[in-house]
Amino acid sequence: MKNFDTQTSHQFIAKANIAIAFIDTDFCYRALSDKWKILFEIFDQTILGSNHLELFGEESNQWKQLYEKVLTGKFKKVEAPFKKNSGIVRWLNWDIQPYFNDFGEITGIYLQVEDTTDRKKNDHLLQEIYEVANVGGWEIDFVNNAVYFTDIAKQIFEIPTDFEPTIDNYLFRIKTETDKQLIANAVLNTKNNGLSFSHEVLTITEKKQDKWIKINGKAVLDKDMCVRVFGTLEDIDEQKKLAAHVQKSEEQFRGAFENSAIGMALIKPDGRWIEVNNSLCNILGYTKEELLQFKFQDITHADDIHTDLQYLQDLIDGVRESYHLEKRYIHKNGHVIWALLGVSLVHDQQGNPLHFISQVKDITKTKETEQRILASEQKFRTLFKLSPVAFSINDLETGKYIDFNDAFAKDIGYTNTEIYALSYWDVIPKEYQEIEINILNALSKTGHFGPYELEFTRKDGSLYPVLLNGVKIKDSEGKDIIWTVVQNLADIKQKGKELSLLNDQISRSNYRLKAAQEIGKLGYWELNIQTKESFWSDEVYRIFGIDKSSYAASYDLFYKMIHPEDRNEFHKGRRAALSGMSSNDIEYRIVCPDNSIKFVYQRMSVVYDEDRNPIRFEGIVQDITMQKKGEHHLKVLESVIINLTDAVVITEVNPTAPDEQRIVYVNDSFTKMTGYTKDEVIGKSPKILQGPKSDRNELDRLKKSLQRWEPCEIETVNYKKNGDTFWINFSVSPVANQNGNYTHWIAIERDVTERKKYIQEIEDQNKKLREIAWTQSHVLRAPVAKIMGLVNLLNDTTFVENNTTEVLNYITSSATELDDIIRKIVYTTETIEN
Amino acid sequence: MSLQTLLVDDDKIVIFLHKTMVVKTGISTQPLVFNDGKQALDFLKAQYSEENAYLILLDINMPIMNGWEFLDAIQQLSYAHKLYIIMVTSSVDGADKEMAKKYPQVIGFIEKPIDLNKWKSIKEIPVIADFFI
Repeated sequence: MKNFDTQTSHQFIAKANIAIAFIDTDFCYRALSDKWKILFEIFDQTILGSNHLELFGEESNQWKQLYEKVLTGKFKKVEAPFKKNSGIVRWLNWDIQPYFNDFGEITGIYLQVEDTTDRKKNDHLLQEIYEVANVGGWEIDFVNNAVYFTDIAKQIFEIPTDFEPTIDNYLFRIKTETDKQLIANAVLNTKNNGLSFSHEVLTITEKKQDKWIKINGKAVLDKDMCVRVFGTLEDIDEQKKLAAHVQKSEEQFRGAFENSAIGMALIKPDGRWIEVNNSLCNILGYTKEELLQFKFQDITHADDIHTDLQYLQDLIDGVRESYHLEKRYIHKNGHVIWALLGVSLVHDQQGNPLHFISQVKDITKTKETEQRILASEQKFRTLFKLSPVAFSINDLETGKYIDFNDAFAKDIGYTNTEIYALSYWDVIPKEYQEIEINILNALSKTGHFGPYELEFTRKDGSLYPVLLNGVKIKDSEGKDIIWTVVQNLADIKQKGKELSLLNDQISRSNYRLKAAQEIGKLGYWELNIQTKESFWSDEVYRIFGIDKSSYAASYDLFYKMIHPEDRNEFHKGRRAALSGMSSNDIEYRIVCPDNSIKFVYQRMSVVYDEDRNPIRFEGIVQDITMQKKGEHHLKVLESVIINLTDAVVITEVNPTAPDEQRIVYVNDSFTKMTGYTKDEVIGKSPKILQGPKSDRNELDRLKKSLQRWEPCEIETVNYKKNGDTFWINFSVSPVANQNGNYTHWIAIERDVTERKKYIQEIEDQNKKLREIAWTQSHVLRAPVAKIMGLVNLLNDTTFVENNTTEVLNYITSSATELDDIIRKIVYTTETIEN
Repeated sequence: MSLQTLLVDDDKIVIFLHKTMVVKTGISTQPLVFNDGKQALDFLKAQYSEENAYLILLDINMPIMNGWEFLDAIQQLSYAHKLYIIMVTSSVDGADKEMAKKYPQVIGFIEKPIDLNKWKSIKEIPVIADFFI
């Protein structure tokens, strides 16, 4: 111990920058540093030689045992709390070593103590933070070449807690070689240059699933040398996947947004545009940049702002989730844009309004049309209602009153509600029902009827005479309705007045004319008998193919255009009208200026003054060229069907049960083919032709096509009236009415029995031919092969001669065999020919 | 190990021809003769020797057990891999050839008559050529 006792040693130790002390084998201080004194709060100058164990108070015995072990040559490192005299507890790290003299004997103990309280606190805190944040820690100790993972790091890497990472394997969870290299290089770079790093890499878990983690690394320097690299590990898989997902939906949304044919926008709660798409720019006439300058309120029609804002407030208040509104915007060039606006609100994560999503569809055109229709409807309705002449509108199918005017209700004496419950059958006395049937026939043929004189029954049962004129028109849903002008002839005196009223109505009311023109394609003309003055409605000009601005209406012009061969017909009609016949309908041809020929239907009437003198002719003309041509076309078609050698069957579909059909037409060939006459099958189901031998698969296929209204062709066995079977090729197509609804099927049936038989015969022949071919190749060749083999043998000079007889015998028997086979072939062939 | 030759055909003229040629071309000095597949199969089951491999010239159309039935039957034998079979037919049919491919023991397909060159070519089939050196 003499070394410690020298003055120099004492001073040297005292000035040491760490807390150190030497104690002898009796645990008495032999030397100590000033730092030691400060650490243990020793102010006594006579400390040297006093017992070190006194420091520990009650725990001195444990320490004594520890020191005794050191005195036997053990090195100890201890970290333990130490309670100072002042009561403060500090964590101390003890480095305890035996001290050897020059002879290798243990002469004392060297003690070095470090206060690790602060570091310990930091470590502890860090540990907690890591745990809370689920951040793993790792460290590579280059001095000892050791790798250390915290438990959380192991959890993130999904490796067992007892796994001991080494410098060679610690990156094994990383998926790609490139990433492994990336991290290895980063660690190396940190070690060599002290640079920190942060990388995101893909790992592969125990269950072979991809997982994103983030690795941070930092150098720990010791005297400018990097001794350790440590860092953190974070599981960022969720984050990464979420980010990818968000990006994807963002892209999708953006695509839908930009490419939508509908105008779309994102709007701040205050109304400012955030995003607008091209369609919206096109609708409003502004560029994107311009729109983003202002709020939607700036270009909303003043009358619509209030409603719009009210709805937006409802969205913010949660009263409604979205709304639709027809509103007006002001286009950049000043005109009004009608738009159908759909708006919903997007909230942020805290539930606060984030922005509105607006969809804007330009409905200006629809809106304009709608308004025009509404306006004309309004005018028409007023005229209809207030007209002194009675009108009624009935459903063609049921006869029910759909609408009527005040004059009609007044004449007939029912209340409005009562009339709606009636049909025209209820007001027409039985004796006139024949006329009513004529009316319906005329309607279906020409689209109009009248004039007819008959009587209507009032509510009180009394009758009143009426003159009926009407046209068939379609309502907005395409349903056929009849519009009837009901002139009350009750008072003969009144009659003249009302007639003139009606005439006024018809000739002067622009609306009436237009309606007649538009609805019935009717032209109206009048000719004053005295003055020869003429009036033609626009439709007359149109039918005659004359330009209204170049030709004035005149009787001469009208007459000249009538086909010379048909002028007598025209005179006949005029005479009939003058003699008071109401059925003066005529059809004649006209030659238009472009030399085309049109067919015209005409009905005329004579207007008399109060003294029954004729004052003018009135006529209605209608272009029936299409109808005439159609009729002709139909005749041609019908003659084709009648003369066809294939059977033609037309069936009508039961509208309530589309599977059920009944035959409405068959041609003569059908009768020839099946033996059934027309009368026997009309009204029956076409299934009467089917029977047990009919091909079920083909019929099922047909049934499926029928259900889908698709044309279909099948081949199957059918049954004649007498029970004979025959093969038919059956091809069927659906027929639509003018509304586009399928109502009928047309089937063309061809007797293919002969063809079927022929095919069967060919197949039988083929089978026999195949048998021959097989026999030839297998049976016929066997003896031939033998003969060839035997002859080869005979030709062989090395062949032993005494076998020759045997070979020749074999040849003979093979030849006989061959002969037999050929005879058989000849026989089979003969049976085919026969 | 030596190659034992079996001729399986129900036609005695064919047997005569084949036997003559097998001996003449040195394929075998003492070929064994069977009139149908069953006889050949019974022989193999009773007399099979580890010392031997077997070259079988097999006709297709035979009574009792035809060529195909014989091929099916030998699949059960533990020594099937030591049987080398050449199908012999009076007319080579595409369908027959296709069918024969299913049997690994079939090493050739020959149309009758088997002339000298065809016999020689049998000796050159790679899997059995070694037996004739």
